[in-house]
This record gives sequence, structure tokens and C-alpha cells, in this order.
Amino acid sequence: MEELNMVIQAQAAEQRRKVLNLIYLEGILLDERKWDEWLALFSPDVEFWVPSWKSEHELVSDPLNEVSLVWYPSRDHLEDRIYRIRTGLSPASNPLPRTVHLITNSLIRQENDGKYLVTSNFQVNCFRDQELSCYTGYYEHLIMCNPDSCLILKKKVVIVNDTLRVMDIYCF
Amino acid sequence: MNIARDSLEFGSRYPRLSELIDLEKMRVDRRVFTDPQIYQLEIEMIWEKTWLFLAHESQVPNCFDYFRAYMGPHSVFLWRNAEGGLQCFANVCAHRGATICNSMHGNARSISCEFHGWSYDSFGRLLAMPKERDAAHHPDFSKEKFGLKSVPRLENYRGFIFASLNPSVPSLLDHLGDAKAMIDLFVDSAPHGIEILPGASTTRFKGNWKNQSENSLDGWHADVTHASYMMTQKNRTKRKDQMFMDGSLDLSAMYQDKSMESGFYNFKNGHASLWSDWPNLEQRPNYAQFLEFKKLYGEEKAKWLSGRFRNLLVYPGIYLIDHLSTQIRVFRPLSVDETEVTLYCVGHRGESPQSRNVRLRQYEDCFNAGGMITADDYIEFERCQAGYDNAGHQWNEFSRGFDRLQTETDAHGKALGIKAELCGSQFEDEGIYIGLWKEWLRLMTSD
Repeated sequence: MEELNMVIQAQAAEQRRKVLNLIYLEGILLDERKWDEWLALFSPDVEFWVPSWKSEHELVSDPLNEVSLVWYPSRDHLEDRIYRIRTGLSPASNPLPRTVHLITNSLIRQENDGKYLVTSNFQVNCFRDQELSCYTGYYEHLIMCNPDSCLILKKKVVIVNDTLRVMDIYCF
Repeated sequence: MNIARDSLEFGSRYPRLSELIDLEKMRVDRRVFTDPQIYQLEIEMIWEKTWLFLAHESQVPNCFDYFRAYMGPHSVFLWRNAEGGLQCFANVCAHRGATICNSMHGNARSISCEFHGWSYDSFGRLLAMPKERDAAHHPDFSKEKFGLKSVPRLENYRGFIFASLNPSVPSLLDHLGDAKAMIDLFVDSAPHGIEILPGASTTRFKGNWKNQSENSLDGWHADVTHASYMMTQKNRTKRKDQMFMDGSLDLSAMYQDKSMESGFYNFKNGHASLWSDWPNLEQRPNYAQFLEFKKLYGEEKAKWLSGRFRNLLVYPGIYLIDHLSTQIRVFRPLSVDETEVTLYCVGHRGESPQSRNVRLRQYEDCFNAGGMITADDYIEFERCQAGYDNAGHQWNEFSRGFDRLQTETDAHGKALGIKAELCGSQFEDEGIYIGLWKEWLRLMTSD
């Protein structure tokens, strides 16, 4: 019995490790501009949300009635953003910046039925035209795992310094 | 025209201001975008002299609501007093000059300076100060003398609140002139009124403010600067995207379908409007509303209300934009090469959840920094600013459509009852900028 418990615990620990790795991998794939591999981390019905700020400390809470910086209810729309980058015709993304995602303080906050809610802090450094822009804020990822793989069901990005003039998906 | 100022020599390198603006050949000297002395003069002669937009009245609906805004470099705030009247104060404590309204917006019966604690009521009167009893002030001191300073002029046109630091500026109505007709369309296209939707976004770019003044009048850049957006939209149509299936989002049709009418108007005082018939009108989300307007007002007015792309510049620093979604775009100069832009999405009160959703999605898709249009404009403004300083060409050229300029208002304008100073018949024509440069020169060289 104890042995079985240990196996279950080991499996759970392994699963949590996979969940956290996924958060870090997402940043790495964006930095390496491996767009298709990045897209493959998301569930087809992913909700991708970057709320805007209503006041100094209040975010919008209802994307159907309030303005977000970005709100997409499916992966198709993330694919659109990649499609657009690949046209090479967006001045804001041509040339693309060199980016470095620093993702820290990742914690599994809830764990239920194979779904994991993870919060993290991020700093994304973008270098272009001899200038370093720093995007900073918090992530909230909802990740669904089955024995074979993990997928992102929701990604919420709270951007703290929201006055930067380019906020493409590689900045988050 | 003030000859003294016009002859002002900006160092020996510079010609007169009037020689920098060559409207006959339709060109301006690039130094107007880069020279710090000209910039200082712009603050004094434009931003401190004319009417500036502060807020929409839906942003300060209740007694004691306040809203911080800027007039060029100056911080001010609107405050609705205990009796419901709206006032605009310089955001400066009478005591030692600290800003006292330090939040974007809120509701307060009184506001205290956080430096020494002087507090003011909603009429701007100095209420109290700590340690008042044994203050032993100079005999000339009295609390009545130390209220907040009101901004000299505050007027409202159809919910749009404007102020001016210039006590002798002509009335707002006079200032707007026939541009009023375009504001009316923006408001009247919403039968139950308009409202600002929560979640504004503010962005800064490293370019001169006049790039932003020109940009939403610029029909020529869109299918190049925004080609990636147009291609993305075509791709969405191909895969039958549920959220962005509206065919009217395909702006490229505006450039390809030559049967559509378009043009521009220059109004007095630098205001200007760019317009075009919508392609695929029957695919627009508000087509039902168009049909209703048509029944009520006839086809021409219905087209103006909801069948046409309309951008209005109210010179110098606000756009009312009604094409993909609806927005108010306010901007202000921070320095000769930095500008701040705030975007508000405007909703129609009482619209269906479905329409609201389309409006929000179109807005976010294009205009916020997270969207696929505006960021590309900002980058091109920055590239211009970087390019202006090169030892390259002296002039910014905008003579496209020179041969087509009309001084007679076209039939569509006449249907609105407007009399334009200049009128154009093609979306890409650049004569649209003449009015704003004329106004720039008038303000810069006026008494």
C-alpha cells in the first residue's frame, strides 16, 4: 500500500514538473521564434486574454463588455497573429525584436482533475533598433494534462507597464 | 499675421515660419517636426491658445466625479461640483505647486494636497489646512485668495468637453465650424447616445505629434502600412472565422472597388474629415441600422450615419474615428520627438450584446497596442522622426491629387449642409493636409 502511495506521489510530482516546464517552454519557443511549436502548446479552444487597466489598480473583468488589450477565444486567432508576423509586412515586426522571456515565481495554485492553475511573474525583454523595451507583469495559465501531454486552456497576461507602443504576442 | 514672430530667426540656419510651410507646392519643411524651438513655440501658440478636448461627459456623470486630463504639457482635472456643474482646474496646489489630483479618475467631495494638507472643495475653494488656528500668516493672507485656478474656458459640444487656456479664444461652436456636422454624425449614429467603454489604453511613441495629426487623414498609407492586417483578414475570410467573418473588415476592397465614392473635407481652423463608402455594406454588422436610418432620413443621410468610413480630426489633438469600430483618439506632445496617445472605444448605448461584441473585437483587433494596425503606424512615425534628421530631402511632399483639389463642396457635403474650404474626391489624395498646415501657420504667427 505504501509503495502504491509512493508511486502515485511520484506520478503527481512528475506531472507538476511537466506543468511548470510547459510555462517555461512557452517562453523559450517564442524567444526562438518556433511559432508552430508554440501554437501546438495551446488547446484549440484556448482563451488568450490580456486585460486592460481601468484605473491604477483595477483591471477590466468582462471581455464581452469592456475593452481588452487582446482577447481571443480560440487558437485560430493566435494562428492569425503568427500568419501576420510571417507576412513580413508588419513594420512593428519587421525586423522582429530579439526577445528574452524571464519567467519566475511560478506556483501551482490549484490542482483539480488534471487541470492546473499556475501563476507566474514575467519580464520579457525585447531588443530592436538599438533599444531595449521591457515588458513586465503576471501570467495565469490554466493547463490540462493527460498521461501523454499537457495543453494550455487559458493564458491571462496582466501587463504592468501598459504604455509600450508595440504589444505583439511575442512581447507577453 | 504677426510679422515680428514670422521673422523670428531660429538661429541663422532657419527661414521664416511661413517659408517652412509651402502650401502652393503642397510640402512642408521637415524641420517643423524636429526643431526644439519651433516645438516650444507650438506649445505656446497652439496648445495654450486653441481648444483642446478633455473628456466625454460620460466619464464624469455624477456629482464629485473627477477626471485627470492634459492640455499639452499642463495637467488639469475636471471635477463635477456639489451642484452638478462641471469645472476644470489646473492640477496645482495653490500653496506650493504640487499636483493634487494624482489618480486617473474617481469621486471625491474634497481633494487634499498630500504635501502640506491644503484641502479644496468641489468648487475649488480652499477649505482648510492643518494647524490653521495658530498659523500667524502674513496679514495679506486669506483663504479666499488661495482657491484652485480654473482653466479660463470650458465648453461642451454634444457631450465632448473642450477647454482652452486662452480666455479670448472664440466660442467652441465657432471654433468647430462645419466640423460640427461630423461630430453630429458620430453622436447621431447611436440612437440612444454614446458611451466610453471601460478600458482605455495610453501609449507613447518617439515621434512628433504632427505625425499623429496627419495619420488618420492619410488614406494612402493604409494598404501598405497595414498590408499584413489586410492579408490576415483575407486569410480569416478564407477559413470562415466565426468572430471576424464580417466581410467589411476587408479594407482592401476600399482600394479595389472603384465604384465606391470617397473623399475629404477641410473645414476652417484645421479640422478635416476623410470618408469613403463602405464596401460590402450589406455585410456590415450594423446593416439593419442602416436600413432603419434609410427609412427615417433617406439614403444619403443613412449612408453618412452608418454606411461610410469617417475620420474627423478636430485640430490639433483629437480624432473621432468611425470605421472598424468607433473610437476617440486623443494625443498630446511630450517633447519635440515624443507623443502620448490615448484611445477610447466608444459604444452605442443599448446596443445588443452581439453588436457590442463585434465592436469590441474590431477595436481590439486594430487599435490598441495589442492590435494589428496602430502599432504599425507608431513605428512608421518613429521611422519618419529618425529619417527627418538625415541630410536628405528638405521637404515632406503631399501633392497627390493637386490637380483634383476643389473649392466647391461636393453633393455629399452639401447634403450635410457643410461648406468645406477644400474638398477632395479620392481617398488617397493628400490635399487633405492643407487645412491643418494652414491652421498651424495661422496659430504660430498670430498675435
